[in-house]
Amino acid sequence: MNATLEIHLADGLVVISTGRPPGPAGVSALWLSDGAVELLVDTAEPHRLVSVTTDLGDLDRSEPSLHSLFGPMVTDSIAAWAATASDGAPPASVGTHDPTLTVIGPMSRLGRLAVGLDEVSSEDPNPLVEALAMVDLGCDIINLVGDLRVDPAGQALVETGLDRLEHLRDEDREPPGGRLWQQILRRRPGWIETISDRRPDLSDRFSSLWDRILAPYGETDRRQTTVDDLTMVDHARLLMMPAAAPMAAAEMAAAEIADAAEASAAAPRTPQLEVLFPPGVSGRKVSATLERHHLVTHLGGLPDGSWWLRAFRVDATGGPPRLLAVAPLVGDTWGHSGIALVGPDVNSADLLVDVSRHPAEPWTSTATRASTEAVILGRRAARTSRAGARSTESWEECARAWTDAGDPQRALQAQSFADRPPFPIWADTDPLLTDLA
Amino acid sequence: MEEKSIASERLFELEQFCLGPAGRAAARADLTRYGLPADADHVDDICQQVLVGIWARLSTARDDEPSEDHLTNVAAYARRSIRNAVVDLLRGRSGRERLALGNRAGGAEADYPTEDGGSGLPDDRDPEAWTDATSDRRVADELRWAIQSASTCMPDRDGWLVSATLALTHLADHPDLEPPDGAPLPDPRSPAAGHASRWVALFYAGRLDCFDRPETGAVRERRSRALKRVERMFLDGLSRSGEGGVR
Repeated sequence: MNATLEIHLADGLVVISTGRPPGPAGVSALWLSDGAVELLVDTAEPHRLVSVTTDLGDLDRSEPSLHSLFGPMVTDSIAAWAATASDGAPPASVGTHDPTLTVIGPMSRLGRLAVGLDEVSSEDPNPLVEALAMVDLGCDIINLVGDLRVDPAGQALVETGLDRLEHLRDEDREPPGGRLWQQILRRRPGWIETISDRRPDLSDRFSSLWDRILAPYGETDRRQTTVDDLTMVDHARLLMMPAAAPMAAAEMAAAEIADAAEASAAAPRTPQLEVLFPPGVSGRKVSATLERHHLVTHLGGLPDGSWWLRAFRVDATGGPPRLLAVAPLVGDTWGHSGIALVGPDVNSADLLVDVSRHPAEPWTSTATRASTEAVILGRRAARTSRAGARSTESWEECARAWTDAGDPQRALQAQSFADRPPFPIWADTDPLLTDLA
Repeated sequence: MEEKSIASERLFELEQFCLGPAGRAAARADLTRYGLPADADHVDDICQQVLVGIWARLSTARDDEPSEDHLTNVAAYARRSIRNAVVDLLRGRSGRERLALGNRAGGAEADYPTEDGGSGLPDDRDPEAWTDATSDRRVADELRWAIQSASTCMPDRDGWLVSATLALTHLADHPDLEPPDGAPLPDPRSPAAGHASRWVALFYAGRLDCFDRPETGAVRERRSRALKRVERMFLDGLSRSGEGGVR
């Protein structure tokens, strides 16, 4: 591996960089040495190291994991270089050094862990799969060779997974699908062995949770094996069930309202405002107008969940946009609507409007949203590829998103993944449980 | 007094760094290092996100942790945060989230109203007096900025609180604004009659559960708790709004 060692004295960081920017699915992060070392891998190709970063003042704490990753000679060389640079260089300088680094650590396992932990902490994991993935990744961390001290610690992760399992709500106990269930069954002996070896106090708890929550799925699974082939048909039937009808009607109604809104938008009295949606979330504006001191919006296509309408005022002096109002978006049969009190002192030209799950997050521009959207689409495409499903369209969508975000290089890379999807070596034999959900 | 001026100085230092050439250069360098577009929008977003995040931490940490590292070397802390924000962008995330251990099913809001009541709080038939007037638009703007920065440390479930407190800043600044149709108003003969704007603020925030019918003691207590939290956020914001302020 060709790597560059950079020491940023301005922010006190030691950055070991491969010099290869991450691809269209961005990076996944893993923290080592109890959080003192950040390891970034390419999410689409997790065996590829992007960078290892630690604090100049934390080199002692980082040393064991650097040692496990790069070996003693390189670690000593890093320490010597860091000491020289911090003594001699002016405070704001950036130094580079090429110690001819070779990763001797278990890069493939670490890459899998980085992606796996990122997936578990994603916004909408399936609660059952999330709990089991925590147990699974926790056992992986426990069984890692070398003094890597992954944060979170494996034992804590296993315990949290069991906690989550114990507190699963009834509605979250949907039976796992066939391939996922097979993987759960296959891994169970390993989990039992690891837990009884390293956390014997959790052994009984694991067994009891298995019997109470997971074993019944086995019964269901046996009953259903004869109708496995019908699964796709069932899904199709489900989509046609009456429960889906109101949503379809809602969509049609929303489209009609959108047409009406478009027609009324042609009238000059109430200019339509742009509404930005969170990256990765499909939603559309039906109407958004400033009516006296209220921002009034009607939106369609938002997924279920808590959504907030937010209004910011542009700061003419170049500071961050100022939050003027936050209002809950209320869903009904045709979509979501919200009314926010923005006061009489603002005009529509100064207003920035968006929708967010996180009412207090700072405003982000269209350009940054486009980059985030492209990364999110890349992560989805990478997940689909890892699961062994057809991902051509996903990568093509990602390529278009990177083109829109003004990054032709990543667009090209995503396009090449459409023809030849990335497939980590562990994805077939040891897939992430979250990829099978 | 001295602590307040040190805090103001650091907020000023933070603002100078994040919105000045040094912060922008740092953001541009980090975006370029990771092969991301380094146009003005990306740079602005990164710098402003860091500014708002640290501003919130500085203003909330000031009283109880005055010796924190980010208070003593705020520019270096901001420089590091800029790099982290760029990495977060490549992770498709808006904050530096790491896997949170603990039981997600738990963690109920400590002073979130419950149907059961029993908290010993008075209900709003006997409201405490507090002033929600903001005197002029500049104060209201500063107050909203203080609320915005304080809210970045809040859990999403407190969105209603941010919503209601911001609504109250407009109502306080413009007492002549007519309440929206359907907004609940206190009985003009009740001790809460002067609190109409606060009720309306809760209504804007979607806290209709504070006005359930029939209006039982539990409903009144729920409303009282919610109003108490709005009051606290409003007054905290007011006390912080004089300390500098981003341009």
